[in-house]
Amino acid sequence: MRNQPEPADLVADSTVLILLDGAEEEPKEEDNTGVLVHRMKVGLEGYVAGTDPASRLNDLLTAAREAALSDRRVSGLTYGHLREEFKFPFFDGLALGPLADFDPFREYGSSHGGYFLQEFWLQYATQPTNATVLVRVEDVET
Amino acid sequence: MPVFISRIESNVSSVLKADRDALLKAARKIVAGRVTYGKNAIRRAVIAAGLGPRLANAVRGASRDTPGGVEGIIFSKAKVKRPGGVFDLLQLFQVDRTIRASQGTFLAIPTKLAGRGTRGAHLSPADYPEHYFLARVKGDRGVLVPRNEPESEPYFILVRVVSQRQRLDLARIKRTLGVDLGPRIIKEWRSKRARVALQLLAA
Repeated sequence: MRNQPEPADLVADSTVLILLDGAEEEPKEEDNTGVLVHRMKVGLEGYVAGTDPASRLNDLLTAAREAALSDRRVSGLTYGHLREEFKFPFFDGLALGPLADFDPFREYGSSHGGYFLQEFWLQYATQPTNATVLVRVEDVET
Repeated sequence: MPVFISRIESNVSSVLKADRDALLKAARKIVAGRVTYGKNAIRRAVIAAGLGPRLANAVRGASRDTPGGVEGIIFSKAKVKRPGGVFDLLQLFQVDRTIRASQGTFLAIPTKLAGRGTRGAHLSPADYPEHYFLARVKGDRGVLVPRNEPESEPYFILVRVVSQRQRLDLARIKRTLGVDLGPRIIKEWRSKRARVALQLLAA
């Protein structure tokens, strides 16, 4: 049987203990910042692993195609201009082939001076990781 | 006659490195955005639960790089020290809780007669002189009255246990923080990747 508390005891009893019903664990300090409420972790390894050079070159080709199509200088360029400007030899025979997802017969001519973008070619230079992307536009009658 | 109008000459490995950098930037941006969203949502929930702006402002957020990626954290600075231990108020309000005296029998709940202390704080019996009060106890409850005014209204009500229900539920907010996090990063990343390619083309 508990003894009737004396007033002096009650003064000492006025401190508080809080019991957490259902709490899974004690509060944890998070690097001296405070008690963690929520954490989001994003691992990037999987994303990077999903980026292979071939698919990335595909992206580069797409970007080159879009850039070429938006370049209105196309209509004013000649073979000679380009050769002089880019110092680039034109040798169709070295092009290794079009990328799989490219449709060479897709028409882009309506807003670009009546040109068809006929072919894109990916030419590997000395190493597989060095690439030259050629954008070839054929001047055709529309 | 074929006309070549553009070309890209690039080392693909450098493009891939640029991709990785762009991915990290995208992840940082999206995670930081989510942290801000989550922090503000929790703050609003705290206010809506009637727990006041001070506790709401104790919710903080941060994001940082980790060895394998990016991490965002939302944390609480609502730490309080009590004789029974150190507690975080934000965590306490998320659970049902039972409060009892840590070292003895009764909790002392102040009435208006007990008055207020510095900066409006509630007083405890310990703030009064020793032996100032007389205890009147019946079973699990009781009162403290001044010893020199035993017939007066009680200054403190004595109880053995106080139970409080959960007042804050952050589960829904936490669930939304992870929704579409990966796809959002990928989307942001792709926009950056496209820019990288165009820059190379322009060069």
